[in-house]
Amino acid sequence: MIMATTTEAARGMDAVAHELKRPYVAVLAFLAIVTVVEVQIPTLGAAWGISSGLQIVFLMGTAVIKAAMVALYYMHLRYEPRVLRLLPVGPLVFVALLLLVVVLD
Amino acid sequence: MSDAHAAHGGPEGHADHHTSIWPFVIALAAGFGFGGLATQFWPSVFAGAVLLMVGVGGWVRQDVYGVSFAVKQEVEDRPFAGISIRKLGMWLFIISEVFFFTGLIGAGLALRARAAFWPTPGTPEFPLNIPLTAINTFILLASSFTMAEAVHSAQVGKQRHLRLYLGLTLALGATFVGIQVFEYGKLFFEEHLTPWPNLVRPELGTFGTAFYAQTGFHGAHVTGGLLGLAYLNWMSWKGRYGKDNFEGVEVVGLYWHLVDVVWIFLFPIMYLIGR
Repeated sequence: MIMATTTEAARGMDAVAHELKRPYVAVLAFLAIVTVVEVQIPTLGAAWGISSGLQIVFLMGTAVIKAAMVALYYMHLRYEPRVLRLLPVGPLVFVALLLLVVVLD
Repeated sequence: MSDAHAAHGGPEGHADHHTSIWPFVIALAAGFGFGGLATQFWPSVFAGAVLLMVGVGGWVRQDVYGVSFAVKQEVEDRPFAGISIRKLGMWLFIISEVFFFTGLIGAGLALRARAAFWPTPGTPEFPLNIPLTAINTFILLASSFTMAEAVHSAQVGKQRHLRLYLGLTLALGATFVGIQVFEYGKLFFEEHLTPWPNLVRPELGTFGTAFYAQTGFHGAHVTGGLLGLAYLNWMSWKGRYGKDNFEGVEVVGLYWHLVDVVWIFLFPIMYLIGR
């Protein structure tokens, strides 16, 4: 009985801790702001004469940051054990290799 | 998705846990369907479609009746010891999906490099509606937010919040698909952007192929996610999920965030980047 109560208490504390560390609204605001900036890039690029290469680097950079925010917070990778956090990273090496081959081609 | 039922043996009174034939049927469906598509042997495609419906129907029926085939348990062996077996399975599936979309986007980039013409965003010749799709992008991002809130609500046992956020996620996802269908109609009939070369705007043939292939596969994934969300909504109104049984919400949520992540890359690639 004592064990059960202790477990319940631990679960309750976990829930409270989880509730405190979920910046979901802030992440959504960040994603929205970055998207608004991204949408301006074609117009700004034409007006300011920004090279297409630089535009691509910027837009892919913001996409990587946005995807990382979704994976870390909404997909909870930040709160998962290290091995699960590392699991999606390995295949990204192959993804980068494939895209590199396509770009070089 | 039915841990609570499984824990009590389900309404059929079985104390042990069941395996299921339905994932195998769905895999068979994929084999017949994609094999048929690759060889353009349409009876095989038809057989794949029928098997898919039978497989999904059987799987859902099994889950609804509380027969659990993937009861909540943790991996025992290293390196994934202690991690939920279903969550790990979903992550492995997500990785396979990342490879799939990387191949698709890579093919699109190869087409772009070789195309005789590729429209530049921000110019009058560009057929896509950037402001509308930017709004749609925000809708999909917002659906990821509501999905994360739904998972959290299930974890802390807030039933009303769970139903609210699952309903919002379903509505936002359906709105995304609806806007995409609307955009497809405008592009196809008014902008003459078709998946194949046409006589009115023949220069857009390659762009059209790449655009519809990439956004179409993504849209199909979103639509599949909507089916999962509809099921979650139904089960949440029946009180299935709570503090001790939230993994079903969590794994569908992981899939839903995946379609969001894919769109985060597709949107700039198709709508904002020229050549």
